[in-house]
Amino acid sequence: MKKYAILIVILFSIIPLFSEVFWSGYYETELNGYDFPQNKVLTNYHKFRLNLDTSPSRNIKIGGNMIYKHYGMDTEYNLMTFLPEKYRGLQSSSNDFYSIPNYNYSLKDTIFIDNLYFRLHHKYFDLILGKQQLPIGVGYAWNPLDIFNKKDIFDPTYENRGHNAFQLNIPISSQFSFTGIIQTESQFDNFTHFYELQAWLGSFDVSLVYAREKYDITTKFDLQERISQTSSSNAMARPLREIGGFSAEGELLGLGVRTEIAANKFENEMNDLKYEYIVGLDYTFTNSLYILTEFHHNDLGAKVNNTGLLNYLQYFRYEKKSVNKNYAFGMMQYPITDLATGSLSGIVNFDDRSVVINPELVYRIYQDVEITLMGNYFVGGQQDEFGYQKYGGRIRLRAYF
Amino acid sequence: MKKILTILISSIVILVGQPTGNELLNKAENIMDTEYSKAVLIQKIETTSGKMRTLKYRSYSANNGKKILMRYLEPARVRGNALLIKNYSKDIWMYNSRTRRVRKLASHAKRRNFEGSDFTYEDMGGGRKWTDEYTANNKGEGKVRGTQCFKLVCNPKKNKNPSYSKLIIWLRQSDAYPLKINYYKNGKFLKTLFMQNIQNIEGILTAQKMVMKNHQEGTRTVMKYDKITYNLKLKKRFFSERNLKQ
Repeated sequence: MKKYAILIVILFSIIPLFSEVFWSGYYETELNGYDFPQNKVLTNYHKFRLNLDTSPSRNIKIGGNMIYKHYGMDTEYNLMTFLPEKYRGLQSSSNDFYSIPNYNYSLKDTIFIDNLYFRLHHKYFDLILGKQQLPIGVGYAWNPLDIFNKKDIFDPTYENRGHNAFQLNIPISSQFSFTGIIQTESQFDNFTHFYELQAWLGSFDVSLVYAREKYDITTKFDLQERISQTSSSNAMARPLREIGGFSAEGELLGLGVRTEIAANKFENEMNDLKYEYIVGLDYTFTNSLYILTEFHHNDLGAKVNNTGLLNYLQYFRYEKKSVNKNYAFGMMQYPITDLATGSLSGIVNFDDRSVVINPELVYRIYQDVEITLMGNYFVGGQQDEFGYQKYGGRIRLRAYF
Repeated sequence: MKKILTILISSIVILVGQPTGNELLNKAENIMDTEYSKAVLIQKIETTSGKMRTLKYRSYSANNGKKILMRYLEPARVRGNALLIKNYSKDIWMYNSRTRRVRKLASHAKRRNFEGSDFTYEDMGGGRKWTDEYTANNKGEGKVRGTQCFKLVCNPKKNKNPSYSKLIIWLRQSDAYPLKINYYKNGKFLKTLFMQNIQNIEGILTAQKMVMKNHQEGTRTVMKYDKITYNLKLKKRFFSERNLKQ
């Protein structure tokens, strides 16, 4: 790790000396706090991101970035801290693999190359090779068609990590384009495929999507293995998942509208399609007040009475985009002054009827320095997704260069 | 008697010769009409607290502002972000270089202020032609910084719903170039735009400096051209989502 880190730093320091390289990035520090009934969690991190890019010729761009992240305060966690009461403090038993007393993980300092790609722009196509960001879908809070990224619903616009991929974009006409993405893995059979036909029709951008991947999903057997510390062949199973989908984003009756629909088919569940979709609206009033709302349905989520530890683990590991089936996200945003923007967002879990309300203030102290204050107020029962916590909050300072 | 007759005839000649508001507005649009342009602009925003913020961006336009592509050059916080505005602000796409995501915004987004400045997206040039949305009445003469001007009062046409409920435009008498515009919404006097340092650039009259004064917020934004050229041709595919992400 140390050798690797030194190599990255040397590489990113030397490159600018030999060619015309544009550099940018930011320093970010964040303090996070959450108040749980039996525990309080306080953590912070310092992050440094350095972006470099260069164009050896008019149609070629080489870009990359390095991230260093240092964690402080609480860095050792038991996942049980973040779960509703009924999953906490239970002792393991060979018969109940939904109850694991210790599911520990730790936040470790890290340095890595997040993106490193080569881009070729041609009259008839764009080709991007290497580790790259793959933004998918039109949803703000959820993206049912996105099989690549992990989105934090409390911070949905935060940048996503890069993926090793091959991306080809072919403009078919001024109204249509095709994008193919293949995410590589160590074995050819495990490659993830994503194909999108995009059309610009009147006031709408419309996409048809087909995707397939080997689905990483935590199973009962994974949990059982963790308890018994034995290995099971079932634990490594990665079923083939195929997605057929559609997205549209545009304007209807003066309102901004968006929808994203994914029909999921798993190889071990014949003829049983699982649907996940969002429907969203947004509007800007004449006084600059912006409102956005999004409804999310996910067949892959659990019914409230069947919700178990497994569902939470799958959600925390971003294998599923929600614990339960039906949610809504709402946001109001208003430029209080030209330097400060206030917003109030809320997430509702319609299945267990719990809610989290998040007030946020972004203030630009200087032109390239901004501070974000965000709070979380949880409303619901002790067994509910948003009910078992009390309060939460974060302070983030980011300085761009 | 002879004197009175002379005055009367002169007045009739002046009245008959006086151009109508719509003619003047049309003339003003024609002299500012550009097929293509490429420019680097600097915006200085003076906030209520007296703080100054500077934005720099490269802008490309076609069909007299029907299509616009803008890329932010400064400050670092927004560097690389870009905007594609088509069909006179009906369609807006916003590209975030940090997330590499393109979002399509509905036309109501044109009311938003451009990066906290006193210009909305629509003011930035992506709005429809004045003559499409307003009826202009010539309300006589006035002076702007010592220059003799026609004063036009523009009200929305029937069945049109522009972003402003009234515009008062002062056009330079010598060539009908606008020197000052007052913007009103629902009876409120919102802001005033001053066009200054007007120069002939490649045959096109261009205000090198534009000052927008916001009367409601007490803020001011100064926009200047760092570079501008009209001698270029941009292909249709230049104004595409694909190019936005370059």
